Amino acid sequence: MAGLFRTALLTQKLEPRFAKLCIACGSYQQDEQRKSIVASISLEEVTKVYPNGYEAIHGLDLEIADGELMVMVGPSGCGKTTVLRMIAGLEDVSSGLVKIDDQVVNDIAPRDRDIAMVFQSYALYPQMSVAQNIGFALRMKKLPKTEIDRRVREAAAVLGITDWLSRKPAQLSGGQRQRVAMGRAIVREPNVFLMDEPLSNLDAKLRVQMRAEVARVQKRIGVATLYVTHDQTEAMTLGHRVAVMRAGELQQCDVPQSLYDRPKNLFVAGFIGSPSMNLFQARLSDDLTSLSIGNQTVPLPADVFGHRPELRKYPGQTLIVGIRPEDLHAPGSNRVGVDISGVVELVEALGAELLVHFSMDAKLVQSEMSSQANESGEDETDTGQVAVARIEPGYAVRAGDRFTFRVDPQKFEYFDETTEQAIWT
Amino acid sequence: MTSSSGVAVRSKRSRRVRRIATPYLLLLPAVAIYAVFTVYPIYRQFDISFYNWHIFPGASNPFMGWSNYTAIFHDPVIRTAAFNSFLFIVITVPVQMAIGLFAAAVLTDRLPGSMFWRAAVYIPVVTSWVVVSWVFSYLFASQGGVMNAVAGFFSGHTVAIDWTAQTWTANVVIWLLSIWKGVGWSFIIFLAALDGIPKQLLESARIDGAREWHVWRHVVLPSIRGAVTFVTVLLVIGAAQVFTQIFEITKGGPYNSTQSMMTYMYQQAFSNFAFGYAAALASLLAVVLFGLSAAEIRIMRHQDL
Repeated sequence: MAGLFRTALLTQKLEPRFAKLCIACGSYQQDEQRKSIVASISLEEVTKVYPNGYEAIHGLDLEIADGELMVMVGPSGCGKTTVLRMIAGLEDVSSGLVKIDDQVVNDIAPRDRDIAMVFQSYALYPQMSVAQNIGFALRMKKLPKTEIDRRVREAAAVLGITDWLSRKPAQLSGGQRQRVAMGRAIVREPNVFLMDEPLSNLDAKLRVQMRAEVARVQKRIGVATLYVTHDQTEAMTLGHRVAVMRAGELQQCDVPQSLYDRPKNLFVAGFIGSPSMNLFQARLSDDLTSLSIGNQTVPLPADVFGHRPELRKYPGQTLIVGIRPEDLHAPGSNRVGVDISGVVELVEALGAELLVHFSMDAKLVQSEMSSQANESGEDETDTGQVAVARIEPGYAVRAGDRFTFRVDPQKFEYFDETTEQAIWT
Repeated sequence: MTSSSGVAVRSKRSRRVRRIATPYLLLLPAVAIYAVFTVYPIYRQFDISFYNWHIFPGASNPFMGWSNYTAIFHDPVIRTAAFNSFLFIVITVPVQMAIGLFAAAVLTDRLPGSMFWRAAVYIPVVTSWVVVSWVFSYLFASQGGVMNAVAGFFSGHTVAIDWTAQTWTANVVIWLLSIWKGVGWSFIIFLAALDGIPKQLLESARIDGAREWHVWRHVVLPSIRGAVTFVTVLLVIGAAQVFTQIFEITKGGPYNSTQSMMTYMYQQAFSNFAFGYAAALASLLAVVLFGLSAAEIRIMRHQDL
């Protein structure tokens, strides 16, 4: 069997659908050797209302299969940590059901849920040594000392922290503390693994290293895992599936590539991808043969409508068109497509690529995420903002130049201007 | 040319002197006040302890050597006073700390009404020792006292216990007053310490399977160890110097049975005018308290609470 395919229900509130999730055989073999418990996490119409009346989560439906690493991503205050804390039992559920392994756990104390959690601050007990920290949960279970010692040493060996077992957390660096926090979680062999932005306190280089470590450990323990982050790169690289949250609502839940290729709405389009998708206000011609982006007209091949028949309902109407920075190519790159041009504002040479920031005579639409990044957000649309293209290095591009990009209209994403929903079908 | 270079050298030297002298000049007032009102009295007390010292000007103050100190060990009242002080420490300090910590734990969450209860617990601290001692004297008075009225209500007949005239009941009244008035102080310190514990530590312990007792044993108490040490040391020092409430309620009686080290010291100095003996007592108490505090800090620093 080339791989184990597991069907996981992607229960989006309005549009439930099915997707296949592939998990490598190796992790499951290890899992079966380790223990036979199979547990999933399921949230059904979960709502969280705080005593002051603020509704943080609105009727969330989500299912995380056994062995799956689900990454929940979204901007600050979107409710992702609240969801995690409700699963952990650290927050009450106002309505709806939280299930672990098909058992409703709404009223079960955190200690009885058989979960392990890695906190953003690591939450290591400062007065205990690394070994005592890792073995704390086992001590609470009243396991024999020799068994605790064996399991602590095993976990330490997996994470490469055997040499630090006698140290106190204050004597460790951020990355080392992060490993200890992971060790404390995995030593319990939990049913469910929860991680609350565990890498956000690390520097960029260490974060990349630890990302791989997290993926390795999760694969090894092979239990349902919810990983919360605001970093979409972390989400895309780690998650078997990614759930995008905004203001307490699930926007889209899908495998990373699908999120990237087919964002369900403007928010997801702006959130997933770095640099963000360029979103322009555009007008479809009455005869559906071209698209006007500012004062530039882009001819549209009939194939575009073949893939998105709904687009035919927008003749002569304004819509929002999204172009990924990597779909804007330098001229002469032997790419099929049409040309659009802009005035270069800034060039960032990253070695392997050039990021060309350019302005166009077109209304650039800012999604909520881009607005937050620019610390504005007062007005969602603004002319004068710059778009970004990611092109191969070696082109002589200078600020102030007028530069022509080659772009394939088939790669455009289209969004309804009013509903901000993608025009897919 | 030579003259101008000489002026430059002098100016440079004067700047250097000013730079070095300024911090010392700024410190001088504080150091002077400390020297006059703290260092000198300590020295003088130690000095007086070696004399049969009289407060009257011109009176002779014969040198006594260590005899004031040796007399302490033969004084029967000292044994009672030391025992009472010891009892006062071992009863009031742990009880104040326990109640203070319990109140802090209950009131650490900002629940409705918690501000009122925080204030209620702390208010006794800011009242006058003399006033509340009188209030307690009336509460426990043999005639018309509230406690006797309460006892009478429950027993069904008139009760006229003279609480402050009997050794043990008088001690209990003094302990109750001291605990009631002192709890607020340890409460405030513990409240601040509990507020400083990262919530995630407690949550992590709960997820790790710890019951509330284990959370306290393994996370909360070790996290507030500094505050516990601080409160213990200061309460012990304060309790060893218990004076006002005893002086106001029993004056150390009946028959010196409720004397503490401080009330007895006061009596020796200002009733018996044995200043040398009182100074020797004070010196000895200071040494004992210093040793006790050092031991407490050392033990708590090395103890994994």
